[in-house]
Amino acid sequence: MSKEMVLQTAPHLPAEDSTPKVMFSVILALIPALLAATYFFGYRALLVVTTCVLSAIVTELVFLYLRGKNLVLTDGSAILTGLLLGLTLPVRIHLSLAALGSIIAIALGKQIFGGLGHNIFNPALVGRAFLQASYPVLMTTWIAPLEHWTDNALAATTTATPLAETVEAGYRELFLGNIGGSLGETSALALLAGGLFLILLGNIDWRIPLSFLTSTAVVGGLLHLYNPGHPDPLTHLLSGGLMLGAFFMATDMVTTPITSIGSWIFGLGCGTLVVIIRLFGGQPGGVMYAILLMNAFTPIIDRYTRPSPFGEEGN
Amino acid sequence: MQLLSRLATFPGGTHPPEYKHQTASKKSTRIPLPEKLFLSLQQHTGAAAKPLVGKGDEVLRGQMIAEAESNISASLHAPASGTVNKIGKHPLPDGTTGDCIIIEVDQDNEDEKFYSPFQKIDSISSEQIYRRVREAGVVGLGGGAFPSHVKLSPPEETNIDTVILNGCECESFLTSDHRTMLERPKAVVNGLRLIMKAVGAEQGIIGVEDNKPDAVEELDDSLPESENLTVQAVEDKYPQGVENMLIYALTGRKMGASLLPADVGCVVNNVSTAAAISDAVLRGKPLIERIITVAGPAVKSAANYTVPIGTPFEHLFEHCGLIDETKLILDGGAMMGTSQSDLSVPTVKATGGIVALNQQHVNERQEHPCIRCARCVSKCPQKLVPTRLARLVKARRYDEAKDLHVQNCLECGVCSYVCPSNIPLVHWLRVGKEKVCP
Repeated sequence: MSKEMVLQTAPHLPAEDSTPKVMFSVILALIPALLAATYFFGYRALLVVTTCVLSAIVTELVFLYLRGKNLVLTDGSAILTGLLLGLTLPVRIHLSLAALGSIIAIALGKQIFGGLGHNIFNPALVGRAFLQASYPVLMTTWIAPLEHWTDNALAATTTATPLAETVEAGYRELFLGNIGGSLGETSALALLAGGLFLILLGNIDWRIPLSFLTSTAVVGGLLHLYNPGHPDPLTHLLSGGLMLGAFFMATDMVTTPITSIGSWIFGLGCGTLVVIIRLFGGQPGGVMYAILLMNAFTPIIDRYTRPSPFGEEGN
Repeated sequence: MQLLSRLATFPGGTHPPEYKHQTASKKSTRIPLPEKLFLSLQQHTGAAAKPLVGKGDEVLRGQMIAEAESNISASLHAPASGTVNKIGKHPLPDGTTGDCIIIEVDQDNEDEKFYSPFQKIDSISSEQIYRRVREAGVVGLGGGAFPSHVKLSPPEETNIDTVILNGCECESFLTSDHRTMLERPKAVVNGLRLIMKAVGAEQGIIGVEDNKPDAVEELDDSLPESENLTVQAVEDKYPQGVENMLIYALTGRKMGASLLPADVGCVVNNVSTAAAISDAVLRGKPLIERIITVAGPAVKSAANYTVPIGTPFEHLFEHCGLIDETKLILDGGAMMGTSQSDLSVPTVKATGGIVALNQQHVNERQEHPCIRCARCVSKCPQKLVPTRLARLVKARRYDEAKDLHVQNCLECGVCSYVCPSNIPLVHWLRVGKEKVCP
């Protein structure tokens, strides 16, 4: 009975989940969107995404080294940032730009603030915003999907993204993804599938996509009623980066509120801002700016939606 | 999903694995008496008891050996006949070392000295119940070890209408309350009636988690025909057995951290405490033994045992057997239990279970940064913000932690358990509580 016993603080049960598991579940949930992108835009889609992921990993390692931290990528967050960024890029983007965006995402989006968990803005969107501000033309030159299956694949045909010119694309095409746009933005179906998977796992807060999408539809719908020249709600919902943003960017735990009321407010703010930027803003990327703007509000939302302790609600 | 559940419960909480199958269906037994019993003078909330015996004195089973001198304190009785070996320091399961009366057990002496039992509940006055519970040294057996007689004499200005018995036993591995309800349902129900009589309450509810349908049935069958007494199943969820969570589930009344159950018209006692109260009043038996669960993957013959108070852990394990790979010994269950280094520590009145675990339960996982997933926020039964509080406490910003109610923490451990980043949140909250209200 003189054995050495371990002393540790309660609870003594292994947790049901881990941060790496959460991150990799999100990566897994993005696979359908990645496959759809590859189908519609060809293998170059994979090349772009791989470039982003690799440069994200390298940047993460360099910063961890410089900050004197363990060189481990076990949390999976850098891979996820690279993947998300890649899915927001157009397929013909020069690979060096993809890499640059990824470096900015990790360096300025995350590590500068102290690494995982400390950043204010969604890192992938920081990278994407940087590219869009610096190279606006390249970032909005889309090719028609499925072009790559034909002989003149390399002749980049420029098509407009639906909301930029309000092209009358069929809902069916918008939903399935047979439409020009960034890699991961094309197929609403694939994004919806991944998003629902994460909601079922409990790894993203369902309140955010729900309030985000609903408020986009409602605000967009009201403005459509006021001026039928504006896109109708369904077009709003199915086009641009809305699905990718609502399910995978606006649900980034680090940069969104921790209270459930806060999640509702966050989604509502995103949805409203998206419509306003899309209809009255000067450039595309409404979803991106909407989320980044709301990221900035997260600390204040958290502060004012803090729950009252049990039984002390009135005090 | 909350929406699908029809059973009463509280918002938040979680459902860790229960590990109760190992012991729940086995009838409780006894093991031989140890050579020595170690009775801590301070095994209850409040002031230490004052010894009435000295070295060399002979004591009989049931004889009072230390007396409560102030109101919030509890007397001690000899759990077995024998001789007082000495009164001295001994390690205790809470990690401290404290004064103990050490009794050398006389294995052959079967004499005992109990109080004279009352015959009928109807003819006992509330004053008699109070006095008997006080002299019998009964304390809360659910873990709090709060002297029971104090709960039986609520302040004049309060109006108690409901007595609740807590049969939730939401902690993993533990089944001692479950066995008590199954094996002694009449004692539990009599205890409830005595408490109701003592505090003048009209209503009595026994709340049992719905993972114990057999206990619900047993108790239901033992209830006298009366509309005032009910057994109610509540949702099987951790920490359902915490006082204010159970009050809320059963009555809808919210008891804030600064309140006592009496402030919301309730008195809450554990089912095992009720049985002990019944024993004290109707059998004249002081609190000298209790059912303890000895369980866990590192225990060879896990079961419930009726154990005298003050039995060294090592004596229990000599009989139940430990595997060689044992790594952790807990006083209590896996969610809230305290890990032990010295197995000579004795059981105390509040010890409801001892759990032995192997390497699988040693937490060597890497701690990741908080990713603000907010699981601790949505699951905290007290509706605190554990991630923020932990950060404030780490930064020694105790005033801010106090503003965010760190002192309300129940230390149930839900936050640490659900944290995917393996941050010891409840540990930091405990540190914060200690700093804010020492």
